[in-house]
Amino acid sequence: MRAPAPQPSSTSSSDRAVLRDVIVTLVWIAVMLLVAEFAFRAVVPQLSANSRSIAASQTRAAEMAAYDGPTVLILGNSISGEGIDPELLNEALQGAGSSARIWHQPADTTAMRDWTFELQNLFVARGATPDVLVLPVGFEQPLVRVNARTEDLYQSFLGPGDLRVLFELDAVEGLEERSGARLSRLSALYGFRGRVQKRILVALVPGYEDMWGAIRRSAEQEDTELVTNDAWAERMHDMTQELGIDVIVVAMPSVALEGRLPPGDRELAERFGWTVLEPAADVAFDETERPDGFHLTEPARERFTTLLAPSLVARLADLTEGM
Amino acid sequence: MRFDSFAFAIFIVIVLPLYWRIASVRLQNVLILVSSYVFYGWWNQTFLLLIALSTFVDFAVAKAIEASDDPARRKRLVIISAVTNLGILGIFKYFNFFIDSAVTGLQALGLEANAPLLNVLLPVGISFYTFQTLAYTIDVYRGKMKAEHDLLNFACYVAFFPQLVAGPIERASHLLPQFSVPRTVTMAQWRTGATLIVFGLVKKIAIADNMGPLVDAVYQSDPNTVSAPLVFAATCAFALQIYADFSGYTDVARGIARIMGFDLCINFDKPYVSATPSEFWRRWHISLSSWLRDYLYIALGGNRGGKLATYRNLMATMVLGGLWHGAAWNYVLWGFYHGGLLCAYRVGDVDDHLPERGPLRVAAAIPFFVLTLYGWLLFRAVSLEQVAAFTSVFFGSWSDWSVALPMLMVTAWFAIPVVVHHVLARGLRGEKWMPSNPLAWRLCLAAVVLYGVIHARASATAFIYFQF
Repeated sequence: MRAPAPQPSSTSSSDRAVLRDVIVTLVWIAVMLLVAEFAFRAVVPQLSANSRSIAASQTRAAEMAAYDGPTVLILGNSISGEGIDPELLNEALQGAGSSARIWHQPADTTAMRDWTFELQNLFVARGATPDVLVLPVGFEQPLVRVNARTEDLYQSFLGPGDLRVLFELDAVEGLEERSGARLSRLSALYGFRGRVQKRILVALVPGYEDMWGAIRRSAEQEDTELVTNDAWAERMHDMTQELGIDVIVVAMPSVALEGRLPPGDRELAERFGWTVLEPAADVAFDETERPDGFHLTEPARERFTTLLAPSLVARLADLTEGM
Repeated sequence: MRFDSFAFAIFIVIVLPLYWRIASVRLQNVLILVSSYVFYGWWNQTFLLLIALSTFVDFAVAKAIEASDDPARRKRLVIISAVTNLGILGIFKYFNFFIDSAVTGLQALGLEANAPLLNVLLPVGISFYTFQTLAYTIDVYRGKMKAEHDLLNFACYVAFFPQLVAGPIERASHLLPQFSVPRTVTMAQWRTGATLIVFGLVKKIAIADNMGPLVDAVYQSDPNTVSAPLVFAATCAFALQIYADFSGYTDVARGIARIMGFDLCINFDKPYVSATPSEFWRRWHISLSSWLRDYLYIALGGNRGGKLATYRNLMATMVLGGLWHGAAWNYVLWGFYHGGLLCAYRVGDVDDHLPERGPLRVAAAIPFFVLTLYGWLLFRAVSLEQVAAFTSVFFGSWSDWSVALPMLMVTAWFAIPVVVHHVLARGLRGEKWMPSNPLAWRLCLAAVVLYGVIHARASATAFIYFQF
């Protein structure tokens, strides 16, 4: 740093001292952030194990890759996590004499965009290409919706080369968004900050999550975290076609859907040749079974899985015949 | 270009080293002007013409005022400046508001009324730079300072990028001479500057941006679904949001200016410890309130015409101050409310009776904070209907704290850094609150950066005061 002054010699030595201080300070901050980054990376598996099932996905992918028979992967979010019991479905398959086996990968707040990267990077890239993919959709997250605020998405599901596709399909433009996405991908500290904040606030503030639930219920505004972008459904279709994966869409019994796929999604599924199952279309789920409107209680989960099992087993029998 | 954007990070990484590589003051000023226009033009290039217009008019008018001995001519010249600056402000900021209000008023009287509205954007920072240039011309007219004869220096003063879009509204007598002298940066300036920048950004991205969704959720709700505690809690959150947002911007502006060798005025001085409205306005947005005092309140007669005239002048000043913030009736109401508070406290001579410090002053600060909160409700409301609805909510039940209490706790959590800063900065005018030991300072600065990274909200929002 150089500044003009009446006495050049003394000023330049003072300038050098300031410049040195600037550099030392920046190095200090960088080192502190690096230390925090590495400390953070040590706890990321715990964070993602709960929220994204990343650690468990490795086991699932390994089992699936090693399995000698038709494989079925359910990719979903917390709605399917708390709505479908894979063990019950596997028992139903076994009972029907099917050799097919189901793995369930429910990762919170994910939607179609996340599922494409999960399928690509957590399963197919690990040699686990399912024969059938099941996509349960519920609440306001049907086939053409993506969650705009999955902050740790970049850490969990994206490979280094995926940002280009992400920017293209999400129409991410401008320095701001692209830099933020890249930073989220590069840094666990930055990418997972939303989840850390939430953990801190959940620990500190009793009723924090209930507060947001109440606010969302009373707010007039739309849930701005969800955006419509059917480009991701198109990509999923292209990917599954290329890999020879059959797709089944299951309408969950949550509010906004009530067990039926919205007309736009139905058209999309028909166009793609995807099977649509609506086991709860004519069955009511009351408030005691889905207290927040979209997550089922344990008994309701069992009830819905029992409703789903016959149609799913029958369809899987058709799809996996001869495998 | 926002201070909390990647674009600005790149901008400053290019501009600052270049600025300090240049030895000549004049070339440094050229760089300041070019970079300031790039900074503003990043948002909209067309509106640079307005800044240029304001610059040329006030530069020429002030020189002509100085050159003239004819009082009538001098007056005509200062009117040209006022008409130009207030005209720009009136057309771009208030035209639609007044036309729309007139049409609504006529329609309410049962008259047919229709008028075309202007389809224009509100130029960012227009209220700040027009007030700044207008004050300069008035100062020259009043003989308080000499006219600037160097157009480059004056253009830099008008467009200086750290404070161009959201202040502080700098007086020419303070900032303008700094463009004529060589700038140096001492170790203390660099450290306090860096501290201001880091803490200012943290206030914005980690505090204000986290309060925004809570506030928006309640203020965008159906008034029939909200309870008194919820409106109270959301308004507390807004009090923190607007303070962290605006004072954060000011901190960054002052910090950047400081490491460029400039001194910008203090704009906030712990406003929420105020015990009276006059104290609040000596602590909140100081550059605007002192502007309003010097160029409006005093021009209207100040307190020279007896009690009633003083109250009238206070009310007029505050109502216009409210309108300065935005072209909407709730801002007018906010100004009216604060004018009313100033008058009421003056009637009771509260300022004279309160001790400088001690328990009585603390006790007085609590009810005044509640009054301030109601002012923020007026300020944040999206319509007068919402003001009425939320106000009536306060007369209903206060029993349901199930949502409001967690909201207050979240607000309290995010207020901790601000409170810590207030306690540490006591008596040190804000920026020298970190340890002076270099190692301890660096550790503290890095800790604040880390806090900011972890608490930064994913979706940043524009600074609230950009819209004014």
